[in-house]
Amino acid sequence: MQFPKRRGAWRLGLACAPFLLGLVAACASDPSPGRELSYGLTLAPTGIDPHINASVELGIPLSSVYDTLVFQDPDTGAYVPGLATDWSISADGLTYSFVLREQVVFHDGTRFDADAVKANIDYVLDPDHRSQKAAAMLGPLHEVEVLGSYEVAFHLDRPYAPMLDSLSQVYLGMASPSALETWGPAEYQFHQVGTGPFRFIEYLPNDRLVLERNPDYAWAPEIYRRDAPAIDRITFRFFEDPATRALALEGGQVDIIGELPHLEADRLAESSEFKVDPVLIPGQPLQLIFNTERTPTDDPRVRRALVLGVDRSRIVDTVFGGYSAAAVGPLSASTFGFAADPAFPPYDPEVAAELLEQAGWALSDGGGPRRMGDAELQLGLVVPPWGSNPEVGQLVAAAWEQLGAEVTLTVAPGFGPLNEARAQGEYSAIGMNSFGTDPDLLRPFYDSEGFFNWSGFRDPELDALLEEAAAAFDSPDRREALYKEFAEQVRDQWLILPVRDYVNLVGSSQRVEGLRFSPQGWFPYLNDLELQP
Amino acid sequence: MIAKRLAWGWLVVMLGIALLAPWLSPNPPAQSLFDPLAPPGPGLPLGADALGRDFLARMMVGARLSLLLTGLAAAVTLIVGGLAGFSAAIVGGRYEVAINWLSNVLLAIPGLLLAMLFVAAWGPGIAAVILAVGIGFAPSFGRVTRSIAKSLLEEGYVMAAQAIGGDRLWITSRHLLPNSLPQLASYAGTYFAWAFLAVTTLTFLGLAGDPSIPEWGALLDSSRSHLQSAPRLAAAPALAITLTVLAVHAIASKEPVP
Repeated sequence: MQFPKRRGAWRLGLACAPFLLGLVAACASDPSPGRELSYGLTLAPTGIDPHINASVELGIPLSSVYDTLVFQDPDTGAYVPGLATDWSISADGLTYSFVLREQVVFHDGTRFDADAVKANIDYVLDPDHRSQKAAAMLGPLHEVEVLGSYEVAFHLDRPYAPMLDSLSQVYLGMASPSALETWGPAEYQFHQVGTGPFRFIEYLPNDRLVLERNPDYAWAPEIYRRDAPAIDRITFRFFEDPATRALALEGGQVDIIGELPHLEADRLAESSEFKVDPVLIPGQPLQLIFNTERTPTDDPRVRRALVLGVDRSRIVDTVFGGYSAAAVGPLSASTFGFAADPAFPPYDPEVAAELLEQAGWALSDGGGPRRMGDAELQLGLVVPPWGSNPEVGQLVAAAWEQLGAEVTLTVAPGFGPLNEARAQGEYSAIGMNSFGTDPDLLRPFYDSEGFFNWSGFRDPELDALLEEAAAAFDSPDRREALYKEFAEQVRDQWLILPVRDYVNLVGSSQRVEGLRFSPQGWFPYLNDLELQP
Repeated sequence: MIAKRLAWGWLVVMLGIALLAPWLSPNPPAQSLFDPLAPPGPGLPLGADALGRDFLARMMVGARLSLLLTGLAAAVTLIVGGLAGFSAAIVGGRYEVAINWLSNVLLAIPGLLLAMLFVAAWGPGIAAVILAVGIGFAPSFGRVTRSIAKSLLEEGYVMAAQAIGGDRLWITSRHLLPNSLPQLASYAGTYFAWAFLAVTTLTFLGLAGDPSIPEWGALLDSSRSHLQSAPRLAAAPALAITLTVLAVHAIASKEPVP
C-alpha cells in the first residue's frame, strides 16, 4: 500500500502549513499549494468518453474537465454563458446561433474557436463512433455551421426544446479537436482534453482517475463560486460494493463519496467528523417496466394489480430510510414536467386481489400460486445490480407473492446481462431508468421505436405526444401540460411500477467545503471545493 | 466420543429445523414486517435484517436450502465420481487412461475456480451452483473410488471370482461395491463437508442469482454490509456454517460411519 505513506507525507506538509500559508499569503493570492482530495466513485464505467459513453458516473470527474457552451444555474434553472457568451434562437426554433468566448485555450494549448465546436459535434454525430447518449441528446440537429472565428449556428430539422439543456451537459462538453483527431474514439477516453478547471492526468480502469488543477483557468461561468480551483489534485477511486463506502470515508481513503446506504448515512450524519448531503436526482425514478408483450403482464388489469399490490412507501422507507420520496409517476418530483396530479395510486391489496380475480387468475385451493385454467401466475422480475435495485426487487417480489404469484427474481450483474435478459424477452418486469433534467429523456423509454422501450408498448398517439412536447421549444407551459397528459396515459396503461425518486446520499469529511452539484444532481462543481486544514 | 455425539446432536437439530422450517418459523421469511435492522426482542430472537425480515425465520429456511443444495451437490459428486472411478478401475486400458487424464486436467484447476467457471458458463442460479459444486468435486472423488476399487481387484476373492468366469458387472455388484462402501461412506462424509463449504461460498459470492434466497452463504453476504451496526446478522450464518462443517467432519473422520 502506497497510500498511507503518501498520506503521512501530506500530514507532514500540513504541520508546516502555517508557515507556508504565511509565506504564500505574503507573496500571492493563490490558494495554498499541495492540496489533494480523494473522491470515491461508486461504479466503474465500461467507457468514460462522455461523447461516446452514457454512464452518469463519468460525469462526476469529467464535468470539471470540460466546459460547455452554456451552463444551467442550479438555483434558478436558467441558462447562463459558458464557452458561449451570447446566443439567440430563431423564431421558428430551427437555428441556434452562438457567439463564442475568445482567449480560451484547451489544456493542450489548442485554441478554442468555432471550428473546435464544429469538430466536437461532428465527432459526436459520426455514426462510426456509436455515441450512446450525446448523439441522441442533439435530437434533430443536422449541421453546425461556422459563421466566423467565434460564431457558430446549429441548424435543426425540427424545433427541439431540450437543445440548451443538452449543450449544458458534460456529454457535449468541448474537447480539444487536435486531441480528438490524434487519439480517435477508441483511445481518446484515456487522453481527454478540455478547457475546464481541471486537467485530465490519467485513467486506469477500475483503479483510479486523476485530475489536476488547470493553472490557466480564467473563464469560470458565473455559477461557479470561485474563479479558479482551490484543490491541486483530485484522485477518484472506485467503491462498487456499497458496504465499503462508509468505511472508505471513515478510514480516510476518500474525502467525498456518493451513494451511501441509508443506515450508514445515518451513522455518519451523527458523527462530528462527517456530513451527509442528500442530493435530489432529476429524471426517472427507480422503476420497474412491465412487459406488455408477454402474459400475464400483457393484461392491464394484471399490471394495475401488481402496482396496487406493492406498498411503495413502505419499501422506500425500508430500503432508503427517510431520505427518499416514493415515486408517483414516470418522472421524479424534481424534474421539469413532473405533475403531482396523475399519481400512481397507493397500496391497496384488496383491489389488487379483485383485479387479479377479474383478469381470471383465481386463488387455487391447495395454496400455491393463482391459476387460470392450467396456467400458473408466474412472474419473472429482472433487476440491475446498482442503486439498491436488488433490495427493492426482493421486497417487490415478496409483495407479488403475497398477491398469489410465483416470482422468479434475477439480478443481472451489469448492463450487458440486463440488456441480454431484455432481448430474450422472458421477463414480466425489468428495472431500468435514466437521469437528466429535461423530460425528453422519456422518449427512448416510451417511443414505439425507442432504444429503452422495454415495455414493448407501442402507441402512435403516445409517440406524437412526446414528439410535440419535445418540439414546444418556446412554451414551457405547453410542455408541462403535455408531459402531464403523458403521465396520465402511462398511469392509465400501467406501463411501469414507479418506486423511488432518486436521492444521492453523498458523505464527505468536515474538512471539505463548498460541495455543490449541478442541476443533474450527480455532478459536483469540483472548481468550488475547498479543503480546510 | 463426546465431540462425535455433539456433532450428531447438532446435525440432528439442523435436519429437524430444515424439515420443519415452515412450521417452526414464527414469521414468513420473505415479508418485510419489522423495522430495518430491528434489534432482537420477544418473538424476534435474532432481530430483523436490513430489509425488515425476521432473521431467524430466514436462517431456518436457510438451513433447509443449504442442506438440500449440499445434499444434491454431494449426490452429483458421488454419482459422477463414483461411476467414473469404478468404471475406470474395472474397464482399464485406454478408457482408464482417458478418465485419468481428464480427472488430472480437472484437478489441476482449483475446485472453487472450476465451480465458478461452471457458473460463468451456465449463468447464475441454484441449479448451476449444485452442478458446479457436484461436478467440481467429482474428479477427486473419482480418483479415490478408482484406487479403492483397484486395491479390491487385487484381493484373492475377487481374483477367484474372475477365475470362475464371473463377468465384470457381477463382480462389481457382488464384490466391489459392498466391500468398498464403508471406506467410500467415510469419504462421502468428508465430501459433504467440502460441498457444504463450496455451496455456501458460491452463494456468498452471489452466484445463486436471486438475492432473496436465504441460503446461509447468501445471508452472510447480505449481512456483511452491516457488520458494524448489526454483527449478529453475520455471526449467525457464519457460526451455523462453521458448526455444520465441523460436525460433518467430526462424524466422517477416522472410523467409518456405522
